[in-house]
Amino acid sequence: MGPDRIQVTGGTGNEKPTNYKVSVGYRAGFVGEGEISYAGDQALERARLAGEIIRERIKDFTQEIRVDYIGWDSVHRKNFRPDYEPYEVRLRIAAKTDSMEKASWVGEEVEALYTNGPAGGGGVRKYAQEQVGIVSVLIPRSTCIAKITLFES
Amino acid sequence: MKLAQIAHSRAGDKGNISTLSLIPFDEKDYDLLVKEVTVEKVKDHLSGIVKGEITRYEMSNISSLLFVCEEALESGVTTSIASDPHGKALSYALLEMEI
Repeated sequence: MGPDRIQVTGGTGNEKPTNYKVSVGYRAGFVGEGEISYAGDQALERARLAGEIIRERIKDFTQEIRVDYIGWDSVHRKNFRPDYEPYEVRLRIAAKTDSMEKASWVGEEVEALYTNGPAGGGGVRKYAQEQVGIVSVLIPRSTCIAKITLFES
Repeated sequence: MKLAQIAHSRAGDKGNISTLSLIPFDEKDYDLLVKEVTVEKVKDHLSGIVKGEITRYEMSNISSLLFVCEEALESGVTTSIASDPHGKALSYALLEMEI
């Protein structure tokens, strides 16, 4: 066609989508977590007892409770090779609550296991945070107005 | 033998769905996977983890299987309180299956 020019033919396309996919964030409550380790003789049994104690103590102020034995079943939520005795286990409790204060109570309960739980628990860590959930929806392109808002602190 | 001896797997997520690929190290083993790793067996193997339906897609052109597992992420990535909310490690849960 000439210097630095080419001809392209046969291009096709489709109409642009009528909907946008939108990821909507919403306040999904709060999550409190606590962890504590057990090692040596009957480590898993002691961790299980501690887990049941915490479950009982937090059930009245939480909406959902998860008890994990790290090193045993925490990642797959199941242990496919359960025929051994683990030397050490880390207990993790996570629970959903309707306030930040209640979320912090979960870790407090785990920390209390130092002196009010199975023997030899150590290394407590506790966390509490707000949870933001995300759901995907479609909204008509025609209802959207593009604009930018800058927030500065 | 365990699937891990002849195949590898990776996990993806979307909402409360986990997708698990199953790819033989040797393409010659693809037919064996198609025959052995049925939806029923995977459902049984992942019971307690996957709570919804499982759909298997056979992709013979790339010698791979894909399992789409519904209700597999404890409510979904953003609201799960599991330690692996994306279920990235579930690929190796599938590979624990005996055939």
